[in-house]
Amino acid sequence: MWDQILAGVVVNLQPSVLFVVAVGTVVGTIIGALPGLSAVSGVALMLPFTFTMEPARGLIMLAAVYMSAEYGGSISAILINTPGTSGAACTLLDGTPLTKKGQAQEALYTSLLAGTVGGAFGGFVLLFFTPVLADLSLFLGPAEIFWVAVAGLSLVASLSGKHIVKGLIGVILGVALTTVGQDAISGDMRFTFDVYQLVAGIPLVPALLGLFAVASILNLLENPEQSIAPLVMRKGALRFAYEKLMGMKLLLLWSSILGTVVGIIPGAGASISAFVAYGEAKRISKHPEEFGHGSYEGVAAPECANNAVVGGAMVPLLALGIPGSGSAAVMYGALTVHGILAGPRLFTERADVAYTFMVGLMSTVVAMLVFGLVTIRWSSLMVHVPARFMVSGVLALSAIGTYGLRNSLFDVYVLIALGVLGYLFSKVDIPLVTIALGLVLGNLTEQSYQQAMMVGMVDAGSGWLYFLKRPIAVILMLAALAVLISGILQNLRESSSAGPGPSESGMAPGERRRISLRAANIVIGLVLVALAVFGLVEAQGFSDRGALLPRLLCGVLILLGTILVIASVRPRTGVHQARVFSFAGVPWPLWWGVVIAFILFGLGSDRFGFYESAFAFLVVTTWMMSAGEANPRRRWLVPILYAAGFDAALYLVFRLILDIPTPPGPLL
Amino acid sequence: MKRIPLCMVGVALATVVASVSVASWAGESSAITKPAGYPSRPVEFIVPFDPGGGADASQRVFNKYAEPIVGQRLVIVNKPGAGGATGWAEMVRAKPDGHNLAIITPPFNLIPPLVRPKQTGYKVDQFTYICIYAVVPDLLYALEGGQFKTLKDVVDYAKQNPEKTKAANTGALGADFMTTLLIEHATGTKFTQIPFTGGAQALQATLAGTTDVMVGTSLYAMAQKGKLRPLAIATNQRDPQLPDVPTFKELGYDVFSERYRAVGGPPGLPGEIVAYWGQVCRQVVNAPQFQAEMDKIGQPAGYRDPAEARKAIDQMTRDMQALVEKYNLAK
Repeated sequence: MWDQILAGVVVNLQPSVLFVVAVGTVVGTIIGALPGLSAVSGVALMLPFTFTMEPARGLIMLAAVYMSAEYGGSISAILINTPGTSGAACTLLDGTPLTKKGQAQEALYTSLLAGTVGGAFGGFVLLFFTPVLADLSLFLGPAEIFWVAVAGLSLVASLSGKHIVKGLIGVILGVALTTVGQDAISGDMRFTFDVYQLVAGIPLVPALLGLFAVASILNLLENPEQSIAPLVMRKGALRFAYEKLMGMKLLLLWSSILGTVVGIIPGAGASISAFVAYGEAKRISKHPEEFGHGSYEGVAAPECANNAVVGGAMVPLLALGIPGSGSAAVMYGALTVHGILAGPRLFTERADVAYTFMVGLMSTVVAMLVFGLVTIRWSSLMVHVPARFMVSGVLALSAIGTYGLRNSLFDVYVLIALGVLGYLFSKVDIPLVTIALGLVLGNLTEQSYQQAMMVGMVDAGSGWLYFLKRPIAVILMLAALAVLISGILQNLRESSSAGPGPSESGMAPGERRRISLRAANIVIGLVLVALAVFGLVEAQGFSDRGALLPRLLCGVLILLGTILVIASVRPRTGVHQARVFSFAGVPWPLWWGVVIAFILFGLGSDRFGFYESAFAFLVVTTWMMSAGEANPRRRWLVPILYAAGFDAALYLVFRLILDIPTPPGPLL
Repeated sequence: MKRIPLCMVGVALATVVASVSVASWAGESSAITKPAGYPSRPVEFIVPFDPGGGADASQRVFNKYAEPIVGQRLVIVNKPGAGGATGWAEMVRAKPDGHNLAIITPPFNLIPPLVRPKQTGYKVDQFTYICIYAVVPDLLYALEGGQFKTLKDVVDYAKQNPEKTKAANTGALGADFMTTLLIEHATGTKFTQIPFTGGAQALQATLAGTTDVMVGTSLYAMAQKGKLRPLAIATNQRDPQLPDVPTFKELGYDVFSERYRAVGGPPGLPGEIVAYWGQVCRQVVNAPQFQAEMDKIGQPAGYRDPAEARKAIDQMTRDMQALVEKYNLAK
């Protein structure tokens, strides 16, 4: 083995290979940072370029894209509260508060260094433990995967903040959203309402993007005067981040392990790893109350995990021919096109390719680090952009990035819809991160359960016996229980500590319009019960298997909704319930204007062309947000110039460089 | 006798040589009748699957060889979702001017409108099939070194233990689900089908021993040699690349199951564009390097012109319909 590794090192030091690593790293970081387009998109976009390259070289380039995209996603998550990749959805929870405190650079360095640790760990494991791990991975059956997924879902307890009921509602809603579409297990069409685009389900990345980015912009629009963040350019930011990381070595190790293991499981990728790592980090942290308000652990853990996934996903890909994630599946295709079949034959027939690639993965980690170090100072300048450009720009960028995922305008509608929903949820303190947790883990949980039950019926005469007869499954079940219990305990500690936390919307007491949280809770409770009843009615048309999860979710929703109503009608926990939040001072015309403009942008793309609609949207939105400007040039000319310039840049990047065809209009 | 001036001979010779070379160069492309002014811009191919998958790979290989013939860029646009149904629903709504085509992989596109017509965004008769360029057979696999060494082992076991043979598939009501039903029907047995999402998970399940058998394409016979054991192939004759694998037919079971890689377009595609692409397709499939590349990715090349393609796919539609009715799968 060592001589093969050495041979791989020699190949990787060749200038041509270093070049493709560099190209892949730059492309990956940028595509990762672009909201919407994720690591898979980046790898898929670069795939055609590998056809003319030598197989190992092409594969290394794709790995470079994958690795640095998982880091790149954190750039926009931290700076503009927009997850660039689904794996970075957690990073914004603490990244954005840090940016608001003026510590954007420290956060970025933390993400970079943590990602380097995770990536290196994953790469190391890949290089030295692939055969062992690949064989071990075959012990993971549906029963084991089910408990891993449940353990992930149990993190809702530690992620719920003060109100576990709201957190549970969030995770149930998230899982409920994943039931939409054709059920792979029963073939039932669930909640598709004869809309054919819904048959494939609600796409994850647009949903996450909408929940976090769009919703937060809608929140921002309530106070458009406040700028995004003060940027404090400190010279010691890197050292600061480094020292922070030195203080969380155990967490980094654990996050790396989690990320690698999740990567090995086929069908579980960066997004699951990030949420699991984040939840775990909060659960074992000495300062869990800091999470969500600017905890460095909250940035480091998910970023470490989502880079460790890369190495992990390669383990079953190379050794078994089973891609561990979507990006790995594209890389499988890259090998196939060269006539190289990933799997058991790879190590016997083309071990040179395998080892060159595995060594190459380590060099992609180094390249990501170098590129990141060089560019962080420049990328963090983004926070200086005034809100009126930032809002329209981020929305437009999210739209085109979302479109580019599946070349689907429907996905853009999902983006908008989830954005509005996320805004509403955040207003009633349903933590968005729990909804995201449900979204990310819902399918895996349901499907692995059903598969285990079906296999169990055959193997053990009953599904439940099957679960109990498999030792690894039992261990994982106890682990899931432990996670749940410790999360609940932590939650109880948080709730019993100091009084009401700050409301998420800007507080200004004593104005005309106030809506009491009590009233809102009652309404929410009733709405949830109504929704659940509707769900139960719909579920009557499903098969028994297909109806199982929907019925369970609806049942719990009815329970939780009722609890919410009762608790709000008779406030026993008086302090929380008396809190009010105000809608006064919110520039409603502006808020609605931007929302309607965004919706029209989406609808108009099909009819009038994507870039044409984008231009109109950019002009209108920036103009609306410049309404306070006295100088007519600033009110009119600047938006038009900005819109033209930004639209042209979008066209250049997405149409000309990335070659993503969009609905055509009269001009473009 | 008039003396023919030498220069005249020279000019004549030059003209003859010139026209022969032009003719032989034009002869290549004149074999294909290109409609005037078509294609006027890059042609988009919708691939309704994820990049890197089987259909995606085969279309990329096809486009690689077709591009020089067509003279315009052939761009792949991935629109995954619902086992291909989402992308095809978009394709049938595209303008039928020949610049929006797609890869169609019967029987994948035939099943959704048969089993869930209300939620499928297209109807079976809305496809314009241009040609088939690859024919991919289905095989039944079991774990190498496991309890099943031959198809007979599986059938015997299944007959003695009804509903105890676990077959992995890539999703309820998918193509391999249907093929497994065919096998059950032909052998008079009943398996328990365990659905997974995607080939990677189904493969992992079979390699891990979670499931006993699975239906897959010939790719697994090559990629998983030594780990997965091909028990039978669902074609009329043995595959020359897999000479040791018996056909279902020779073992006495009437199981015929193939997947096609076809080029198609929206309804109303002009006949001359269809004919043009049919000829481009034939030229691509005849190229030995194309055949070699397709063999390497486990999708053997095979040409059916527009009429033959239509006939074959109609037959496949009827077979699928019969299965759907027999097992009462439609809703």
